[in-house]
Amino acid sequence: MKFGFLVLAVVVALVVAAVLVSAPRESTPRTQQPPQNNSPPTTQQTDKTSQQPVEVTWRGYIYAVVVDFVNMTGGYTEWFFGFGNGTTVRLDFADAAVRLRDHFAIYVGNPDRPVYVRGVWNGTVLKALEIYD
Amino acid sequence: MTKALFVLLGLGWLVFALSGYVVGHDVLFVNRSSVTYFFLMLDNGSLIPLVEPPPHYLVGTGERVEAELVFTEVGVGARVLAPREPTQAIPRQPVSGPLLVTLVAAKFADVSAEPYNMSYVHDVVFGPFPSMRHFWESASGGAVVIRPYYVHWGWVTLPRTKADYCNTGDAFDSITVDVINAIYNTAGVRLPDRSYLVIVLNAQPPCYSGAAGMGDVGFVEYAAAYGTVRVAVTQYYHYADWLTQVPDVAVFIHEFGHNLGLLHPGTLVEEYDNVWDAMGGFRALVRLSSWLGTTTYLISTGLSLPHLYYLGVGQFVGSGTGSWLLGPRSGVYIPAAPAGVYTVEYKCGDVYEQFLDWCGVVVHRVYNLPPPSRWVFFHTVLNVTGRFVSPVNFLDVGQSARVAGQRVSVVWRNSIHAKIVVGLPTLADVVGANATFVVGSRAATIDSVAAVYARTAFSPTATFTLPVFHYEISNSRMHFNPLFAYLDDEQWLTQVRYYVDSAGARQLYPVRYPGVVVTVGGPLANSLTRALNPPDRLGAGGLPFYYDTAAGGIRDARTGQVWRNRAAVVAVVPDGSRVYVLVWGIDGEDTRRAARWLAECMPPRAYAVVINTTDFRVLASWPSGFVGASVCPGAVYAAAAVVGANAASIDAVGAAIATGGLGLLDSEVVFDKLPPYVFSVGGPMANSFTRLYNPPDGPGFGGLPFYYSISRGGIVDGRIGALLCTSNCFVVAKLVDRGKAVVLAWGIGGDDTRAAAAYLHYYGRILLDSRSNTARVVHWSYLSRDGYRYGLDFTILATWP
Repeated sequence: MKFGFLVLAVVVALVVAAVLVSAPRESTPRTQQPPQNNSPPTTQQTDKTSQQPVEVTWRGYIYAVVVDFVNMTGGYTEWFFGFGNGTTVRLDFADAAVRLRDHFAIYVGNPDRPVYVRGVWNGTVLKALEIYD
Repeated sequence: MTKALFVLLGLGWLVFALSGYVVGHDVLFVNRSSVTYFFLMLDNGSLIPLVEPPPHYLVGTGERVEAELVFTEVGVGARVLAPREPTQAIPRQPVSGPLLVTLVAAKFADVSAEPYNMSYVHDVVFGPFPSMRHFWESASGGAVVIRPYYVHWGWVTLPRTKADYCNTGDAFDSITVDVINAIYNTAGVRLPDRSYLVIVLNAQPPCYSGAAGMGDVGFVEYAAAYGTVRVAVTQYYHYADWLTQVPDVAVFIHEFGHNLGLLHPGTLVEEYDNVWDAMGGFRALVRLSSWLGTTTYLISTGLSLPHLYYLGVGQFVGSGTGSWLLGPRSGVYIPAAPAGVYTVEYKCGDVYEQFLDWCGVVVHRVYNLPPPSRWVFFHTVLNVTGRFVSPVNFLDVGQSARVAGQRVSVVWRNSIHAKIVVGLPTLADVVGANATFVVGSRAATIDSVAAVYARTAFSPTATFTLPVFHYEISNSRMHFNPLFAYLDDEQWLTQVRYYVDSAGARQLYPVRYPGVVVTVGGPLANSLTRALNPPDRLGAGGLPFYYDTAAGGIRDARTGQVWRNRAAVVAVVPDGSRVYVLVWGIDGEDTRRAARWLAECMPPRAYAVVINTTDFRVLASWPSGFVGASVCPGAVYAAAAVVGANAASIDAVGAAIATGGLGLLDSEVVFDKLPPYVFSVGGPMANSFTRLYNPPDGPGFGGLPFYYSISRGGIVDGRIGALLCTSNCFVVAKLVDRGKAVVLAWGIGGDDTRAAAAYLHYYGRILLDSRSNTARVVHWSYLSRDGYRYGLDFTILATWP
């Protein structure tokens, strides 16, 4: 009986381990271990100069602000990533793989549609490598 | 066996799609109950009962729907198919209901100027037309309601200088947070979640040098003193002192559009190049009444259909091949290969669209490129490509362009709706089109007078044009009495469009003779017909009917059959960027009968037919399948045009400007059989009917004092004996004879006579409404600029009585 219980416990442990390993990214975003700078930065931290680049995965929102010039030519769009707590960082996703379920437009400036961004944070700009739901 | 056949037929019905309109009627019973019946109405008026209630928003709207025939136990009915959505090529992010907007004017710590008073700021944002609020409520058809949440009355002083804001690394964010904190600290105002904040600034920060405004795309989080707030923010910079006199409402409209999720719609090369959309770069300079008196504003000129669809207020009445009626906030789309769509819409009648210089059908290619690319781009469909040319790349009536491998042709429009045909237009599609008429300059008069009948089946083209100097006063559309009937060998009048290139230089783009071009007379009499439908070979687009010179008749190239008399061709032929209708017979009388067939019969959904000009039977059709008797409800002719049998062709084509109706030669007139209005076109030397009423060298009918003096070579006023003019003038008169109105239109030469007819068209109403005899002598001239004729100008020289 005791032996049987041990076998059952091992099996349960294996199943739990397997589930954890195979869990989809959507439900368990990769949270990096220290260094500390993988944590969402504070407003003060974003003002500091660049630091050693580290790969991070953050959950938050995509923001954009458009600059329009008087002569209506040469305007540009600045992109940001926000954490939902008032902290935003500049976002560069020119080289990012976008794997979103809906059209990208639906996510921009939409508080109901958070995303995960995996990218490289250098203390100033989050250079996105992958964006997904 | 019978049952199986029935099932097969039923299956056949099931897959047979129809298109038409949803209509309904109520039957009210004595006991005050009622029943509503719904039908699908086909183009020919047939009503097919709907087997299930249609969506309420389709009933009686005149919007074309697609339906399928279904076989039921009680017979055949129809079921409306859900309007097809344009796949996922255009994302949708609907906005509706009240939007709470906070308005704050703020000045930098180092700039004391307060360039606007608060009434100015308030009105530009929340005031009546033109304002940011009015634009978005109007553009959305009322779906969006902009409500002022808080207006800070007076300028807030920001804690930092312009340079300091730039030093923060994100001036936009820093200014926003300081404003949010300022109104919290001074007025205790907390911004509602997902509200809007409009900030009017008194200068430009150096890091935004040259900027007019900035806007968040959607909602952004800001770290306010009282916690994180999510708002959509716009900032406006005082970029020039003249803004105190000329409010740039368009920038406010534009930036708020970013708040609603819209990006710039222009091309990949120039993202602001879209004159049809507030999110483009175009701003119209207009002078309008205001509470100050008259104020000059910079305003936007509407919102395009892809953006309206994105916001959830635009809709598509259909897609792909068919005949469609485009209306406000509704259009059609055409699938594009390999993915995406083109949208087709009509820009004219909206409050803000009225400040576009032209009305036109606009095609947008909606791109679906990987982010961060924009999602609505303008795609040029005419032959003018380059930067800042969107103002000329639209289709007016009669114009046609290829979109995604299909033809899109505009055949008719008024100020609100336009009718377009996607695919090759048929004869049934073009009836009623806005038309321009062309006859051979040396054709027999009877050929040319056929145009009068053709005019009955069409409506004159009505379009705006511009003199080239119009650029400086672009606050109204201009209509310069354009002609719409021409000879084949003349330099036709032109619609002049302009655009401003990237260097700021004004460029012209002239378009010849707007309208579906109805070319009357055969290939031997009319060079335009000859170009499109030459003898002895296939015509444009593969038209199989042509004049066989060896056989002396009309040949059907497919079968080899030849008709040598009493036959005529009526065809619709898209070619290049135009739509043409050909009307020609074996002789002049056949041509006139062919035009009469157009006026009195219902043309089939064929591209071309050969008809018997005696009994109007369709002898051959392209494509085949329409041979047989014509359906001819007939026409009630309220007017006739009479021209001299030996007059110049231009006299006769002028008659088609004066009126549509019976087209008669002077030798054919039987007074008692004439309709109530008789237009006698051409002078007393060319038209014996005119001569009866207005003989040369003496007063005319009822004492008409204006006459042609043979010896003096001009028009004389017999009351004073003065020679009024010897060139560029004409007489128009309305004479009442035995209960009919006889209207004379004649000039010294053929051009003068045609100008007289144009005068009647544009200004004849006062004349025609007169209950007694009346007449005018009018001087006229072409309006022209840089070699382009764009209209007619008239000056009255004398009136009678």
